[in-house]
Amino acid sequence: MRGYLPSLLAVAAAAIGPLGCVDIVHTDQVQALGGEAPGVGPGPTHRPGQPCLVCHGGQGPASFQMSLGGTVYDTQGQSAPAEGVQVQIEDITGASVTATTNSAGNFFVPLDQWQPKFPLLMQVSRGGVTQQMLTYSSREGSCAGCHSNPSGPRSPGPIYVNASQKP
Amino acid sequence: MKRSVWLALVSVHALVAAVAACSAVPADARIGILAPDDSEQGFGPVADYLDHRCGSLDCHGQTSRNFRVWGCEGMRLSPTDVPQCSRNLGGTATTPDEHQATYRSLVALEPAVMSAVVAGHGAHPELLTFVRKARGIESHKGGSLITPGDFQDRCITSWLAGQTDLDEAGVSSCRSAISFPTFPGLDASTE
Repeated sequence: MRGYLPSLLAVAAAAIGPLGCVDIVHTDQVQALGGEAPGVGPGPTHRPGQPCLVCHGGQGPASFQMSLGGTVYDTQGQSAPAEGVQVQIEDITGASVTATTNSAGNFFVPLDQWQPKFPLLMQVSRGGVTQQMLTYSSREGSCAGCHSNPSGPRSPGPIYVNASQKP
Repeated sequence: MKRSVWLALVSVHALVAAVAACSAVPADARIGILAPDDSEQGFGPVADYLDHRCGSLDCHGQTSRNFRVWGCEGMRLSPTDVPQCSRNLGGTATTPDEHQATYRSLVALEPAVMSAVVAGHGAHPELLTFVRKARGIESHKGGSLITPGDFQDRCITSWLAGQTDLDEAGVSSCRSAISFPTFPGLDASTE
């Protein structure tokens, strides 16, 4: 038995070693997002409404990293995306950046462009209409991390430009 | 020692331990601690400040955290409420039940230490981990949020000391603490 012990230990180490590098929580988060929508491959318009930084936050699987990302919808309670919205983000030092939503309503700030110092305050504007975030983000770079759909006790709901008639 | 004697000793020991485990502590036994004021008047303003500063949905406004904060700026207690304080926007103000939920979470973090701090009339609030984290003395993902002596710190420490702290104008330090943090640009644009 003694002769086999080093070999057994080596095999056990080889089997366990890679597991030490896997963040199971992160893996579960990525898998929970599901696959790509039909006809929309990876790119700036994919996966609207999902928490961008799960994949783009440095742990992969996406190589492109963001400091912030989210989706803006046209009208509260509706699913049409809002294109051309100015998303203004300010960090606690007063530094700010403005991103513009694309045809999917998505916007993002590349990590190599800005690394904000949390907390952050944000507002979205288009055509003279502005919605300001009434609280602030303390650490979450994915808007959908808090603004999930539907609204409920743990979510204020998706971000929108135009308020519905009956909130 | 003979094996039979050894086995007998072990058996007696196990029997005594088993009996003690079943009968030593009555099922309704409670441990008493000294706890700070939980009244709506005494803790309500503290809870509102904690909701504002600590209770955002991406921080302590989550059930996955040990220190959980409930309120209209973050996690709601009622399944029909949303994280929105303004009635005009479909929200509701933080309820007394939410204040109580925050109170229970906070006091239960370190009950024995909390008891010691209260017994000492709040002279050493830094014994509490949540105070050390907020002051940045201990590692805190949210960073250093308060400075000893500022309105935020006075809001918490005066509550622990069983007092109501007022500023020069007679305004509660907890109410003044709500103004933190301050954003130079967007905050100013809405004033």
